[in-house]
Amino acid sequence: MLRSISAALVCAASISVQAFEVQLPQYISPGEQVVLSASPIAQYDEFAWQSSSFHAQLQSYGEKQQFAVLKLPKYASDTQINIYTYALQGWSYETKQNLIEVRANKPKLPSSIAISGPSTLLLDQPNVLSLQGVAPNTRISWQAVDDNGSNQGAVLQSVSDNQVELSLDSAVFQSESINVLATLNVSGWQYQVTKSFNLDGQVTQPNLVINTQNTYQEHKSGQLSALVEHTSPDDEVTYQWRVINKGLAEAVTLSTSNQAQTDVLVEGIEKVSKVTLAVTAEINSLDKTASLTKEFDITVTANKAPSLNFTTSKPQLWDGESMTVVVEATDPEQDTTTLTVENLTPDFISISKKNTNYLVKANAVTADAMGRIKLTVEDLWGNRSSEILDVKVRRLPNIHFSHKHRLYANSPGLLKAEIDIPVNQVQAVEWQQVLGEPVQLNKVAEFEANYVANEGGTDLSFTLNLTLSPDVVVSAQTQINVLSSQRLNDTGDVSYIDKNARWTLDSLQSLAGLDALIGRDASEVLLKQGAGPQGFDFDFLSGSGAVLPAFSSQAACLRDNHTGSVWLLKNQQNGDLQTKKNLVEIAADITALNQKQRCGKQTWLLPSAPQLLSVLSTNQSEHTFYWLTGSEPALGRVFSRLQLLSSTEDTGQNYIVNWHPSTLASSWASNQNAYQFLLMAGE
Amino acid sequence: MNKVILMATLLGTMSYLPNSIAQCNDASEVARYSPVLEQTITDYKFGLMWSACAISPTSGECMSDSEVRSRMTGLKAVQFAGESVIGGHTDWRLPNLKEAMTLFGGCQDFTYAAPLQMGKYQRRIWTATTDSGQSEPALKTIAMVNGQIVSWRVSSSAASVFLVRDISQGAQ
Repeated sequence: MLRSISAALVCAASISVQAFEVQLPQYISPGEQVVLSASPIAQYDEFAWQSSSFHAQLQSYGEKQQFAVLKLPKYASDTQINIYTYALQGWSYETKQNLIEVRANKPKLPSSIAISGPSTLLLDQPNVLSLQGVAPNTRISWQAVDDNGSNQGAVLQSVSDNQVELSLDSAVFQSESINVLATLNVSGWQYQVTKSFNLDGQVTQPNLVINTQNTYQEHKSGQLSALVEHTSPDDEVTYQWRVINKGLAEAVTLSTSNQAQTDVLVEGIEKVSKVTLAVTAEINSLDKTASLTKEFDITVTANKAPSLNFTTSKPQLWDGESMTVVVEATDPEQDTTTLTVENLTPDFISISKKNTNYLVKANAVTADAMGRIKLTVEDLWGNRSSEILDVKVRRLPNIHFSHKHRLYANSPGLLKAEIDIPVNQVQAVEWQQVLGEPVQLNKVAEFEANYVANEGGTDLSFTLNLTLSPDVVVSAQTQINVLSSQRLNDTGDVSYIDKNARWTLDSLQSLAGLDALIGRDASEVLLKQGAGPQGFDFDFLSGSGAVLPAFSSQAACLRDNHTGSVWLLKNQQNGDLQTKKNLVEIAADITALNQKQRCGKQTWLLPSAPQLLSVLSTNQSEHTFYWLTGSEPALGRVFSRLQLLSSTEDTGQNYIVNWHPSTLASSWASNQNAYQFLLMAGE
Repeated sequence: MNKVILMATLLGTMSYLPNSIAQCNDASEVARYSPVLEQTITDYKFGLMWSACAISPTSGECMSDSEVRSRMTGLKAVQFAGESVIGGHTDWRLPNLKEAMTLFGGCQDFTYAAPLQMGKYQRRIWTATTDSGQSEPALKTIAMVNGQIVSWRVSSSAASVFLVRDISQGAQ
């Protein structure tokens, strides 16, 4: 409190205004400090103080050093102290000398001397205070300070010797209490009487309020505003904004510095930064001036790069396939952004704009490849983000058919395909017939289907459709040649054997299942295109292949209507049946026949053993040699034993059909020899 | 020296012979026979169904692995054929000579080439075609090894039996 009061003396308002004289007590006791003051001070430039005591401390203060505090230590041995006061004025000065006597046992101030006043002081109204218990004409100095030692807003006005009016300006005074101090001399001693008054919350101090945004963004102007609360309507408030610390920013700009509201623009930061700003509000009215200053921080976030998000409509692209890529750019600050799409692999893919999206198409590739697209988005401030979009580009599979391409009529066929990509890449496999008599396709495995070809002599065609994606189907076609079943001639056998293993002429007595009872030979009704013994069906052909009447002298060939084979007639023109030739000679004959296209054929050959047998009959009397030689049976030509050469060969030997009027057998004989032979033209 | 000349002649002959002589109608790509199904095999080329194996002289069905003897007399062969029930079919018979010859083939030889399971020690097969030139009733047989046609009396146990039946019109 003593310190507070001492400080208050610095700003104390002088109540008595006299010609230069010094107010001071008459006595001082060791260990006491007293206040000395000179007044009036207006006409003087400065005051100086000096004491005669070696031990006493004398320290001046005040605007013109018109005050001084004299402190006498307890151990001081002085009995009196001379105080010299100099009032300086230009080059001249006035001086006063006063004496303070040192006495011990300073009497206590009577308890009746006390400051009285209203229990609660009122703001903006004069509050009368009085020092009770003092004698009239007692010189009293009054001071009023707040708890911080400030007398701002507090005005004292003397009313009488012991009364003073205290006015507290609510616009300036900012404390909840006021300390009033009265300094007086009683019986030559100096006393100080204090009393604190509570304002009971009346004080509505001007308050500087700053409104800021929660956060500020780089490159974006943000608002700042200030407001001084608890001002009077007559008060004029001016503001002054300034930047205290830029923090990590390269630049902090205020749109205006002297308005209640301003915009702040922060640029050049890479991460969150604090910027320290300050605003000072000057409050001016007719009777007072106040200044309020606040420093505050704002948090500024760096402008963030925009981000990219993309979606593709397909996980991969097959050769020639397209897909849509949707790219979305998002900027945290809603900045305008620019999207750049760069094709890093133009050999594999091509890109085109499609409305707001992009169409990516796979180029023709011979091997799997990885297309790559670089997506870049950039905002106004050059912040950018990039993403790489990898597009797997797949070559189309090669389809290889591994099934057989020929089959006989009525036999089961199998369609089988192989591909050179992983099977799980194929979404669907479909076999489809596109040509030929419809067959029932049954899928038996992923790439296999079976069927039964019905009719011979036709071609079937199937396609295999591989669905690789909803937009890509790869197809391949395979051709199947359906061969007609070959027909066999019957043997001409008409002999029967009974169950007792004896020859019989009665077919009814014959063992069932013998050749003579089965087949074309045994058929009671057999439709023939031409004519022939037993089940044989022949037509005679001219040299050009035209059908001639049976046994025509112009005939050159014999057509077996049942098997389709054409046989060269063994006659005078073509060579007698009995004529023997070796393979070399026969080959020469064949060459000549083919060159001449004998009977319209150029596929002449020496028949194999089965082919040779097919045209022969085992019948002893009605054998086919009449027909093969063009000799009518009725003419009764006799055929002797024949060794007919076939082309069936095994290690230098050829299969020989040995025909004898009584039997037919076969053997193998050297192919270096000459034999009888028949020649045929195949289909 | 003569041997060398002979070889040269042979080579010359072979090389000279066009396909018209040394024909080998390779239809190996074509699936001629079906897989075995109920002891039957189908020959799609000629429209015939065969027993998938040689017929047992005792059971009239396919020979078992333990049976050694596959030969039977021609008479018994004909009778077995008419009584056989194989694959649910009852119209089995012995093949005639030309049908039996379809079981033989080859390009550089001429031997049994069908998938029908032969019996043990089977040397030839019976056909239903008679050889009327013989005083005693005989049937033609075909040697398994080279397709040679040889007639045997029906009372002799000369050959084994493959059975056949028609599955298409006009096959005979």
